[in-house]
Amino acid sequence: MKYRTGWIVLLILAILTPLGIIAAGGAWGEWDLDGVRDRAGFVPEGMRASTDGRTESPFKEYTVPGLDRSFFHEGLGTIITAILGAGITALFAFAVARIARHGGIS
Amino acid sequence: MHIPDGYLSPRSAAALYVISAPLWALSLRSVRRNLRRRRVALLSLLSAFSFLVMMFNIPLPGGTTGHAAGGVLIAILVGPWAALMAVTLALAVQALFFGDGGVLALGANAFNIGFVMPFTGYLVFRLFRGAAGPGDRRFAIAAAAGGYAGINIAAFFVAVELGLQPLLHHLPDGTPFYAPFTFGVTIPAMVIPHLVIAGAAEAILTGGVAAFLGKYHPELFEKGSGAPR
Repeated sequence: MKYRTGWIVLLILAILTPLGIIAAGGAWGEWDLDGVRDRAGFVPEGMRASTDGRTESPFKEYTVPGLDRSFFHEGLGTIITAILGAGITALFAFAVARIARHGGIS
Repeated sequence: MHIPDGYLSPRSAAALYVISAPLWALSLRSVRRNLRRRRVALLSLLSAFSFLVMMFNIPLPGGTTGHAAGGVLIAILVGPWAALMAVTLALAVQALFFGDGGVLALGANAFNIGFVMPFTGYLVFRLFRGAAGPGDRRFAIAAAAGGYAGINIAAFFVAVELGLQPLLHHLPDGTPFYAPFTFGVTIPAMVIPHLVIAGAAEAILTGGVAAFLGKYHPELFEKGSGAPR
């Protein structure tokens, strides 16, 4: 496999991702509607009308449905989503780069 | 730094798609022309790397969190146009599967994190690098400076796009219709934590990996390797 060490490093990163959910609070300007109300004092009409992507995503905020009973579960869910997401991203990038170069995947 | 859906007006989100679309086309063209066959796997690896790096949230002053994105490092390895492709695909997967950043806002997020960050960071890297080669201390410092500049400039663009919303879209009495805060709030809130902490994280990541790869795998940066000179 090309760049074998690199892929191993990515796997280690994926296993370490639970460290990334320890930090308290969320990113500025990425609040849900309650968060907007807390900070702005109201929810702007246009925001209320929009469908927030969070509510529809299969693994919203890097969680696996059902894996939420303990911090251990949550960490495991994070690792699963990390491997899943990184894997899908790698496949997408591989396919797009191949298509760009050859006009086809094969 | 990922703008969720609902924060930008549909018109603003569409405008940023319109800006990003030709950049994506140029990215495809650049990958077709410049990315060598054996580097396709590297681009794929770096795209997954960007996805993972963005999962490592670190606490920022003000009780919020932020993360590095890896865009400048990717630009140094495979060029800024290929970096745009790698980061855009990571952002697309984040938006579609994990609700991180909006689908309608993907044009905006790809512009900020996929285009502004790698290109400005790469420019700063080139300015600082001078004649230094991979493995030189100056090479790594230039990479760190590029990472620091790139993430901060990207954060500034996010702040401007969010801060414009209440000026562009409000009710007759002035009540904001989409993202509610203007520049006076968005710029300090986005820029200061990035200047202090997230920028440092990006600098350490970019400089550290560039130093390591420059020393042990300088062939990754070699002429003809696909990395731009």
